[in-house]
Amino acid sequence: MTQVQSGLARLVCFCLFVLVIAPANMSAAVYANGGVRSNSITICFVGDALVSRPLRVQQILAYIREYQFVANIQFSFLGTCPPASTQPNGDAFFNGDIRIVIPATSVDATTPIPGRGCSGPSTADWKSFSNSPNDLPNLRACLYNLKLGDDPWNSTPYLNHTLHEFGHALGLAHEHERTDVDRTICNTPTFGGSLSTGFMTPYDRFSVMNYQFPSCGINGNYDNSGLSDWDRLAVHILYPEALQVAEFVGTTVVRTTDTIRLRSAWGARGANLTFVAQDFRWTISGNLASSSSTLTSTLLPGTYMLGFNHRDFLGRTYTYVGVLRVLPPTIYTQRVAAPIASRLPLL
Amino acid sequence: MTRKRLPFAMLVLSFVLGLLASSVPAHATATFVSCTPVEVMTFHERIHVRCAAAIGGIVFFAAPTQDTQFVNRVLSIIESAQVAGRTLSIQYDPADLSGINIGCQNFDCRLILAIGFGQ
Repeated sequence: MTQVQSGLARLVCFCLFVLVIAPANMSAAVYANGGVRSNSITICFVGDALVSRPLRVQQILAYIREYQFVANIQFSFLGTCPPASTQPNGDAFFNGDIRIVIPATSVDATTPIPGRGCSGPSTADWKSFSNSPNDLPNLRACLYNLKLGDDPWNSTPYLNHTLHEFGHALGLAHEHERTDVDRTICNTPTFGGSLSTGFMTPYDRFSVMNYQFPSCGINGNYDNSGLSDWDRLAVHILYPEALQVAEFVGTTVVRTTDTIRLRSAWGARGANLTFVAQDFRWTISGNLASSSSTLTSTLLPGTYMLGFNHRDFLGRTYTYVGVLRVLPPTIYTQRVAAPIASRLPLL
Repeated sequence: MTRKRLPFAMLVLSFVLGLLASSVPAHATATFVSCTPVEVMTFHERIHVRCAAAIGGIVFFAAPTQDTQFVNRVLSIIESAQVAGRTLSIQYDPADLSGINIGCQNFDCRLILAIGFGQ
Protein backbone atom coordinates (compact mmCIF):
# COMPACT_ATOMS: atom_id res chain seq x y z
CA MET A 1 0.00 0.00 0.00
CA THR A 2 1.46 3.37 -0.93
CA GLN A 3 1.49 6.28 1.44
CA VAL A 4 -1.16 8.18 -0.48
CA GLN A 5 -3.35 5.12 -0.61
CA SER A 6 -2.95 4.57 3.10
CA GLY A 7 -3.78 8.24 3.61
CA LEU A 8 -7.08 7.82 1.79
CA ALA A 9 -7.73 4.62 3.70
CA ARG A 10 -7.13 6.42 6.97
CA LEU A 11 -9.47 9.22 5.98
CA VAL A 12 -12.21 6.77 5.08
CA CYS A 13 -11.55 4.91 8.31
CA PHE A 14 -11.91 8.14 10.26
CA CYS A 15 -15.12 9.02 8.52
CA LEU A 16 -16.46 5.53 9.20
CA PHE A 17 -15.65 6.06 12.84
CA VAL A 18 -17.58 9.33 12.88
CA LEU A 19 -20.52 7.50 11.35
CA VAL A 20 -20.28 4.74 13.92
CA ILE A 21 -20.52 7.18 16.79
CA ALA A 22 -23.74 8.53 15.36
CA PRO A 23 -26.75 8.16 17.63
CA ALA A 24 -27.97 4.60 17.16
CA ASN A 25 -31.71 5.34 17.08
CA MET A 26 -31.95 2.92 14.17
CA SER A 27 -34.91 2.00 15.07
CA ALA A 28 -41.39 2.96 10.68
CA ALA A 29 -43.85 2.95 8.94
CA VAL A 30 -47.01 1.71 7.35
CA TYR A 31 -48.80 3.70 4.69
CA ALA A 32 -52.47 3.72 5.68
CA ASN A 33 -53.61 3.71 2.06
CA GLY A 34 -55.54 6.83 2.92
CA GLY A 35 -53.75 9.30 0.69
CA VAL A 36 -51.38 12.13 1.44
CA ARG A 37 -52.09 15.78 1.97
CA SER A 38 -50.69 18.73 0.09
CA ASN A 39 -47.40 19.88 1.55
CA SER A 40 -49.04 23.01 2.99
CA ILE A 41 -51.37 21.98 5.78
CA THR A 42 -53.52 24.38 7.79
CA ILE A 43 -54.04 23.62 11.46
CA CYS A 44 -56.15 25.28 14.11
CA PHE A 45 -57.48 24.70 17.62
CA VAL A 46 -61.17 24.64 18.39
CA GLY A 47 -62.88 26.49 21.19
CA ASP A 48 -60.93 28.74 23.50
CA ALA A 49 -57.77 26.59 23.57
CA LEU A 50 -55.52 29.51 22.63
CA VAL A 51 -56.74 31.43 25.68
CA SER A 52 -57.34 28.66 28.20
CA ARG A 53 -54.36 26.41 27.27
CA PRO A 54 -51.81 28.65 25.56
CA LEU A 55 -48.78 26.70 26.78
CA ARG A 56 -50.21 23.38 25.62
CA VAL A 57 -51.00 24.90 22.23
CA GLN A 58 -47.43 26.14 21.92
CA GLN A 59 -46.12 22.77 23.03
CA ILE A 60 -48.10 20.94 20.34
CA LEU A 61 -46.91 23.39 17.69
CA ALA A 62 -43.34 22.81 18.83
CA TYR A 63 -43.78 19.04 18.84
CA ILE A 64 -45.05 18.82 15.27
CA ARG A 65 -42.08 20.75 13.95
CA GLU A 66 -40.36 17.36 13.89
CA TYR A 67 -42.36 16.55 10.77
CA GLN A 68 -41.38 19.81 9.11
CA PHE A 69 -37.73 19.03 9.75
CA VAL A 70 -37.74 15.73 7.91
CA ALA A 71 -40.09 16.24 4.98
CA ASN A 72 -41.66 18.81 2.71
CA ILE A 73 -44.42 19.64 5.15
CA GLN A 74 -45.44 23.14 6.12
CA PHE A 75 -47.95 23.49 8.91
CA SER A 76 -49.74 26.81 8.57
CA PHE A 77 -51.18 27.85 11.91
CA LEU A 78 -54.60 29.53 11.69
CA GLY A 79 -54.95 30.09 15.44
CA THR A 80 -58.50 29.49 16.60
CA CYS A 81 -60.53 27.56 14.07
CA PRO A 82 -62.94 29.86 12.26
CA PRO A 83 -66.71 29.42 12.52
CA ALA A 84 -68.39 27.05 10.11
CA SER A 85 -69.79 28.06 6.79
CA THR A 86 -72.37 25.96 4.96
CA GLN A 87 -71.78 23.39 2.24
CA PRO A 88 -74.16 23.26 -0.76
CA ASN A 89 -75.89 20.25 0.76
CA GLY A 90 -76.58 22.15 3.94
CA ASP A 91 -73.89 20.48 6.03
CA ALA A 92 -71.48 22.57 8.02
CA PHE A 93 -68.06 23.35 6.53
CA PHE A 94 -65.20 23.91 8.92
CA ASN A 95 -62.03 25.43 7.53
CA GLY A 96 -58.61 24.20 8.63
CA ASP A 97 -57.23 20.89 7.43
CA ILE A 98 -56.42 19.64 10.92
CA ARG A 99 -58.76 20.97 13.59
CA ILE A 100 -57.55 20.03 17.03
CA VAL A 101 -59.49 19.67 20.23
CA ILE A 102 -57.65 19.41 23.55
CA PRO A 103 -58.92 18.92 27.10
CA ALA A 104 -59.92 21.66 29.52
CA THR A 105 -61.16 24.11 26.92
CA SER A 106 -64.62 25.38 26.03
CA VAL A 107 -65.24 22.33 23.83
CA ASP A 108 -66.27 19.12 25.58
CA ALA A 109 -64.88 16.32 23.42
CA THR A 110 -66.54 13.57 25.44
CA THR A 111 -69.85 14.25 23.71
CA PRO A 112 -70.73 13.82 20.00
CA ILE A 113 -68.69 16.06 17.72
CA PRO A 114 -70.58 19.27 16.94
CA GLY A 115 -71.30 20.11 13.33
CA ARG A 116 -74.37 19.79 11.11
CA GLY A 117 -73.93 16.59 9.08
CA CYS A 118 -70.86 15.42 11.00
CA SER A 119 -70.40 11.67 10.96
CA GLY A 120 -67.03 11.56 12.67
CA PRO A 121 -65.96 9.17 15.41
CA SER A 122 -67.18 9.96 18.87
CA THR A 123 -66.15 8.61 22.22
CA ALA A 124 -67.38 9.50 25.68
CA ASP A 125 -63.83 9.73 26.97
CA TRP A 126 -60.54 11.37 26.02
CA LYS A 127 -59.30 8.56 23.82
CA SER A 128 -57.40 10.38 21.13
CA PHE A 129 -58.05 9.99 17.43
CA SER A 130 -57.08 11.40 14.09
CA ASN A 131 -57.91 10.60 10.48
CA SER A 132 -56.24 9.82 7.18
CA PRO A 133 -55.84 12.53 4.57
CA ASN A 134 -58.53 11.03 2.34
CA ASP A 135 -61.03 11.26 5.19
CA LEU A 136 -60.72 15.01 5.24
CA PRO A 137 -63.71 15.74 2.95
CA ASN A 138 -65.92 13.42 4.97
CA LEU A 139 -65.10 15.21 8.18
CA ARG A 140 -65.43 18.79 6.93
CA ALA A 141 -68.77 18.99 8.71
CA CYS A 142 -67.14 18.21 12.04
CA LEU A 143 -65.93 20.88 14.41
CA TYR A 144 -62.72 18.91 14.96
CA ASN A 145 -61.00 15.98 13.30
CA LEU A 146 -58.07 15.43 15.67
CA LYS A 147 -58.66 14.76 19.33
CA LEU A 148 -55.55 14.93 21.47
CA GLY A 149 -55.54 14.09 25.15
CA ASP A 150 -52.94 15.21 27.65
CA ASP A 151 -51.54 11.72 28.15
CA PRO A 152 -50.04 10.88 30.62
CA TRP A 153 -52.23 13.58 32.26
CA ASN A 154 -50.22 13.72 35.49
CA SER A 155 -47.06 15.20 33.95
CA THR A 156 -45.75 16.73 30.73
CA PRO A 157 -47.72 15.37 27.76
CA TYR A 158 -45.79 12.90 25.64
CA LEU A 159 -44.08 14.16 22.51
CA ASN A 160 -44.74 10.86 20.76
CA HIS A 161 -48.46 11.01 21.46
CA THR A 162 -48.77 14.20 19.46
CA LEU A 163 -46.53 12.81 16.71
CA HIS A 164 -48.65 9.64 16.64
CA GLU A 165 -51.93 11.44 16.02
CA PHE A 166 -50.37 13.75 13.46
CA GLY A 167 -48.77 10.69 11.89
CA HIS A 168 -52.26 9.40 11.16
CA ALA A 169 -53.23 12.79 9.77
CA LEU A 170 -50.24 12.59 7.43
CA GLY A 171 -51.07 9.10 6.20
CA LEU A 172 -49.46 6.58 8.55
CA ALA A 173 -51.15 3.56 10.12
CA HIS A 174 -50.49 1.74 13.40
CA GLU A 175 -47.10 0.05 13.40
CA HIS A 176 -48.07 -2.55 15.98
CA GLU A 177 -50.99 -3.77 13.86
CA ARG A 178 -48.74 -5.14 11.13
CA THR A 179 -48.89 -8.83 10.34
CA ASP A 180 -45.09 -8.96 10.33
CA VAL A 181 -44.41 -7.52 13.79
CA ASP A 182 -41.38 -8.99 15.47
CA ARG A 183 -42.85 -11.52 17.86
CA THR A 184 -39.43 -12.36 19.21
CA ILE A 185 -39.47 -9.06 21.07
CA CYS A 186 -43.12 -9.06 22.05
CA ASN A 187 -45.77 -11.73 22.23
CA THR A 188 -48.68 -10.08 23.99
CA PRO A 189 -52.07 -10.75 22.38
CA THR A 190 -52.66 -7.20 21.20
CA PHE A 191 -49.26 -6.96 19.54
CA GLY A 192 -49.63 -7.65 15.83
CA GLY A 193 -52.73 -7.29 13.69
CA SER A 194 -54.17 -7.49 10.23
CA LEU A 195 -52.25 -4.80 8.33
CA SER A 196 -50.54 -6.66 5.51
CA THR A 197 -49.85 -3.94 2.97
CA GLY A 198 -48.29 -0.51 2.84
CA PHE A 199 -45.08 -1.55 4.56
CA MET A 200 -42.70 1.32 3.84
CA THR A 201 -39.98 -0.10 6.10
CA PRO A 202 -39.51 -3.29 8.11
CA TYR A 203 -41.36 -3.43 11.42
CA ASP A 204 -39.96 -0.71 13.67
CA ARG A 205 -40.24 -1.08 17.41
CA PHE A 206 -39.08 2.50 17.84
CA SER A 207 -41.81 4.05 15.72
CA VAL A 208 -44.11 6.61 17.30
CA MET A 209 -46.92 4.82 15.45
CA ASN A 210 -46.77 1.93 17.93
CA TYR A 211 -48.98 1.78 20.95
CA GLN A 212 -47.20 1.22 24.24
CA PHE A 213 -46.37 -2.37 25.22
CA PRO A 214 -44.57 -1.91 28.56
CA SER A 215 -43.84 -5.58 29.14
CA CYS A 216 -41.97 -5.67 25.82
CA GLY A 217 -40.03 -2.47 26.28
CA ILE A 218 -41.97 -0.75 23.50
CA ASN A 219 -43.15 2.69 24.50
CA GLY A 220 -44.49 3.80 21.13
CA ASN A 221 -46.79 6.79 21.47
CA TYR A 222 -46.18 7.03 25.19
CA ASP A 223 -42.65 8.32 25.13
CA ASN A 224 -40.61 11.39 24.31
CA SER A 225 -38.12 9.81 21.93
CA GLY A 226 -39.48 11.55 18.83
CA LEU A 227 -39.64 10.20 15.31
CA SER A 228 -37.54 7.12 14.71
CA ASP A 229 -35.18 6.95 11.77
CA TRP A 230 -37.70 4.91 9.83
CA ASP A 231 -40.55 7.26 10.77
CA ARG A 232 -38.46 10.06 9.30
CA LEU A 233 -37.70 8.10 6.17
CA ALA A 234 -41.35 7.23 5.63
CA VAL A 235 -42.52 10.83 5.97
CA HIS A 236 -39.67 11.95 3.72
CA ILE A 237 -40.98 9.55 1.06
CA LEU A 238 -44.65 10.46 1.60
CA TYR A 239 -43.95 14.18 1.31
CA PRO A 240 -41.19 14.65 -1.28
CA GLU A 241 -39.23 17.84 -1.62
CA ALA A 242 -40.13 20.39 -4.30
CA LEU A 243 -37.19 19.17 -6.38
CA GLN A 244 -37.62 15.41 -6.46
CA VAL A 245 -34.12 14.02 -6.61
CA ALA A 246 -33.41 10.30 -7.02
CA GLU A 247 -31.16 9.89 -3.99
CA PHE A 248 -28.34 7.38 -4.01
CA VAL A 249 -25.22 6.52 -2.05
CA GLY A 250 -21.90 5.29 -3.33
CA THR A 251 -18.74 6.40 -5.06
CA THR A 252 -18.80 8.15 -8.42
CA VAL A 253 -15.04 8.53 -8.87
CA VAL A 254 -13.32 5.15 -9.15
CA ARG A 255 -10.28 3.38 -10.57
CA THR A 256 -10.55 1.15 -13.61
CA THR A 257 -9.76 -1.69 -11.26
CA ASP A 258 -12.76 -0.84 -9.07
CA THR A 259 -16.35 -1.90 -9.46
CA ILE A 260 -18.84 0.94 -9.43
CA ARG A 261 -21.42 0.25 -6.74
CA LEU A 262 -24.28 2.70 -6.30
CA ARG A 263 -27.55 2.09 -4.54
CA SER A 264 -30.78 3.87 -3.78
CA ALA A 265 -30.43 5.98 -0.65
CA TRP A 266 -33.97 5.01 0.34
CA GLY A 267 -32.85 1.40 0.26
CA ALA A 268 -29.67 2.20 2.13
CA ARG A 269 -31.74 3.86 4.85
CA GLY A 270 -33.89 0.76 5.18
CA ALA A 271 -36.93 1.45 3.04
CA ASN A 272 -38.93 -1.51 1.77
CA LEU A 273 -38.18 -0.83 -1.88
CA THR A 274 -40.53 -3.48 -3.19
CA PHE A 275 -43.35 -1.29 -1.89
CA VAL A 276 -42.18 2.32 -1.88
CA ALA A 277 -40.38 2.51 -5.22
CA GLN A 278 -40.50 1.14 -8.72
CA ASP A 279 -39.18 1.57 -12.25
CA PHE A 280 -35.56 2.06 -11.23
CA ARG A 281 -33.40 3.14 -14.13
CA TRP A 282 -29.68 3.78 -14.05
CA THR A 283 -28.12 5.09 -17.25
CA ILE A 284 -24.49 5.60 -18.15
CA SER A 285 -24.01 8.06 -20.99
CA GLY A 286 -27.60 7.49 -22.00
CA ASN A 287 -27.46 3.71 -22.05
CA LEU A 288 -29.50 1.67 -19.60
CA ALA A 289 -27.08 0.12 -17.13
CA SER A 290 -29.43 -1.24 -14.49
CA SER A 291 -33.15 -1.44 -13.80
CA SER A 292 -32.83 -2.41 -10.16
CA SER A 293 -32.24 -0.29 -7.06
CA THR A 294 -28.49 -0.82 -7.40
CA LEU A 295 -25.92 -0.17 -10.07
CA THR A 296 -22.91 -2.44 -10.31
CA SER A 297 -20.58 -1.87 -13.21
CA THR A 298 -16.99 -1.69 -14.40
CA LEU A 299 -16.03 0.79 -17.04
CA LEU A 300 -13.11 1.81 -19.20
CA PRO A 301 -11.36 5.06 -18.31
CA GLY A 302 -13.44 8.10 -19.06
CA THR A 303 -16.03 10.56 -17.87
CA TYR A 304 -19.61 9.41 -18.19
CA MET A 305 -23.00 11.00 -17.65
CA LEU A 306 -24.80 9.21 -14.86
CA GLY A 307 -28.57 9.16 -14.76
CA PHE A 308 -30.74 7.71 -12.01
CA ASN A 309 -34.53 7.72 -12.09
CA HIS A 310 -37.35 5.97 -10.32
CA ARG A 311 -40.94 6.43 -9.26
CA ASP A 312 -42.51 6.06 -5.85
CA PHE A 313 -45.58 4.05 -4.99
CA LEU A 314 -47.78 7.09 -5.56
CA GLY A 315 -46.45 7.52 -9.10
CA ARG A 316 -44.22 10.50 -8.45
CA THR A 317 -40.93 10.62 -10.35
CA TYR A 318 -37.43 11.27 -9.06
CA THR A 319 -34.37 12.15 -11.14
CA TYR A 320 -30.65 12.60 -10.68
CA VAL A 321 -28.13 13.59 -13.33
CA GLY A 322 -24.43 13.71 -12.56
CA VAL A 323 -21.03 12.47 -13.60
CA LEU A 324 -19.15 9.19 -13.22
CA ARG A 325 -15.37 9.36 -13.47
CA VAL A 326 -13.31 6.24 -14.10
CA LEU A 327 -9.57 6.77 -13.83
CA PRO A 328 -6.51 4.56 -14.37
CA PRO A 329 -4.92 3.79 -10.98
CA THR A 330 -1.94 6.08 -11.54
CA ILE A 331 -4.15 9.00 -12.52
CA TYR A 332 -6.48 8.24 -9.61
CA THR A 333 -3.53 8.44 -7.25
CA GLN A 334 -2.47 11.79 -8.69
CA ARG A 335 -5.90 13.39 -8.85
CA VAL A 336 -7.75 11.85 -5.93
CA ALA A 337 -5.66 9.94 -3.39
CA ALA A 338 -2.70 12.33 -3.25
CA PRO A 339 -4.72 15.54 -2.82
CA ILE A 340 -6.76 13.90 -0.08
CA ALA A 341 -3.65 12.63 1.66
CA SER A 342 -2.24 16.14 1.57
CA ARG A 343 -5.25 17.33 3.56
CA LEU A 344 -4.73 14.84 6.37
CA PRO A 345 -2.59 17.22 8.45
CA LEU A 346 -5.60 19.55 8.59
CA LEU A 347 -7.55 16.80 10.26
CA MET B 1 5.74 1.51 8.15
CA THR B 2 5.11 -2.17 7.57
CA ARG B 3 1.84 -3.51 6.24
CA LYS B 4 1.18 -5.25 9.57
CA ARG B 5 1.56 -2.12 11.62
CA LEU B 6 -0.43 0.09 9.30
CA PRO B 7 -3.93 -1.13 10.23
CA PHE B 8 -3.20 -0.63 13.93
CA ALA B 9 -1.87 2.87 13.29
CA MET B 10 -4.93 3.64 11.23
CA LEU B 11 -7.16 2.39 14.02
CA VAL B 12 -5.43 4.53 16.63
CA LEU B 13 -5.48 7.60 14.42
CA SER B 14 -9.12 7.03 13.60
CA PHE B 15 -9.98 6.67 17.26
CA VAL B 16 -8.23 9.90 18.20
CA LEU B 17 -9.75 11.80 15.29
CA GLY B 18 -13.12 10.29 16.03
CA LEU B 19 -12.92 11.50 19.63
CA LEU B 20 -12.09 14.97 18.40
CA ALA B 21 -15.05 14.93 16.10
CA SER B 22 -17.33 13.65 18.84
CA SER B 23 -16.38 16.61 21.01
CA VAL B 24 -18.81 18.66 18.96
CA PRO B 25 -21.76 19.25 21.30
CA ALA B 26 -24.57 16.94 20.34
CA HIS B 27 -28.12 18.27 20.57
CA ALA B 28 -31.02 16.10 21.55
CA THR B 29 -32.60 16.50 18.14
CA ALA B 30 -29.43 16.21 16.10
CA THR B 31 -29.81 13.93 13.14
CA PHE B 32 -27.79 12.60 10.23
CA VAL B 33 -28.48 13.12 6.56
CA SER B 34 -26.85 11.71 3.44
CA CYS B 35 -25.59 14.35 1.04
CA THR B 36 -24.32 14.12 -2.49
CA PRO B 37 -22.26 17.32 -2.60
CA VAL B 38 -22.87 19.42 -5.69
CA GLU B 39 -21.34 22.73 -4.59
CA VAL B 40 -18.96 24.04 -1.98
CA MET B 41 -18.60 27.76 -1.37
CA THR B 42 -16.57 29.88 1.00
CA PHE B 43 -17.70 33.24 2.28
CA HIS B 44 -16.23 35.65 4.79
CA GLU B 45 -18.36 34.28 7.63
CA ARG B 46 -19.04 30.71 6.56
CA ILE B 47 -18.39 27.87 4.22
CA HIS B 48 -21.23 25.78 2.94
CA VAL B 49 -21.89 22.63 1.00
CA ARG B 50 -24.95 22.26 -1.18
CA CYS B 51 -26.46 18.79 -1.45
CA ALA B 52 -28.19 17.34 -4.49
CA ALA B 53 -31.33 16.54 -2.49
CA ALA B 54 -33.05 18.56 0.22
CA ILE B 55 -34.63 17.30 3.40
CA GLY B 56 -37.35 19.40 4.96
CA GLY B 57 -36.27 22.13 2.57
CA ILE B 58 -32.71 22.12 3.90
CA VAL B 59 -30.19 21.85 1.09
CA PHE B 60 -27.22 23.84 2.44
CA PHE B 61 -25.05 22.88 5.39
CA ALA B 62 -22.66 25.48 6.75
CA ALA B 63 -19.83 25.99 9.22
CA PRO B 64 -18.67 29.31 10.64
CA THR B 65 -15.21 30.48 9.57
CA GLN B 66 -14.74 31.97 13.04
CA ASP B 67 -13.68 28.54 14.30
CA THR B 68 -10.81 28.13 11.89
CA GLN B 69 -9.73 24.68 13.01
CA PHE B 70 -13.19 23.23 12.73
CA VAL B 71 -13.95 24.89 9.43
CA ASN B 72 -10.67 23.66 7.97
CA ARG B 73 -11.51 20.12 8.95
CA VAL B 74 -15.01 20.43 7.54
CA LEU B 75 -13.69 21.90 4.32
CA SER B 76 -11.16 19.10 3.99
CA ILE B 77 -13.85 16.48 4.33
CA ILE B 78 -16.16 18.19 1.84
CA GLU B 79 -13.41 18.69 -0.72
CA SER B 80 -12.23 15.13 -0.28
CA ALA B 81 -15.74 13.83 -0.80
CA GLN B 82 -16.16 15.90 -3.92
CA VAL B 83 -12.83 14.87 -5.38
CA ALA B 84 -13.38 11.23 -4.55
CA GLY B 85 -17.05 11.18 -5.55
CA ARG B 86 -18.29 10.12 -2.11
CA THR B 87 -21.63 10.57 -0.38
CA LEU B 88 -21.31 12.74 2.72
CA SER B 89 -22.98 12.03 6.02
CA ILE B 90 -23.79 15.23 7.87
CA GLN B 91 -25.02 15.62 11.42
CA TYR B 92 -27.09 18.71 12.11
CA ASP B 93 -29.74 20.01 14.44
CA PRO B 94 -32.85 20.95 12.46
CA ALA B 95 -34.12 23.06 15.37
CA ASP B 96 -30.97 25.15 15.63
CA LEU B 97 -31.63 28.34 13.67
CA SER B 98 -28.56 30.19 14.88
CA GLY B 99 -26.88 29.83 11.50
CA ILE B 100 -28.74 32.95 10.44
CA ASN B 101 -25.98 34.88 12.19
CA ILE B 102 -23.51 33.78 9.53
CA GLY B 103 -25.82 34.00 6.56
CA CYS B 104 -27.08 30.44 6.77
CA GLN B 105 -30.76 31.07 6.01
CA ASN B 106 -33.37 29.36 8.16
CA PHE B 107 -35.46 28.12 5.26
CA ASP B 108 -32.73 26.20 3.45
CA CYS B 109 -29.60 25.98 5.61
CA ARG B 110 -28.41 24.49 8.89
CA LEU B 111 -25.13 24.37 10.77
CA ILE B 112 -22.88 21.33 10.52
CA LEU B 113 -22.28 19.47 13.78
CA ALA B 114 -20.28 16.62 12.30
CA ILE B 115 -19.42 15.51 8.82
CA GLY B 116 -17.81 12.50 7.20
CA PHE B 117 -18.09 9.81 4.61
CA GLY B 118 -17.61 6.10 4.67
CA GLN B 119 -18.50 4.54 1.39
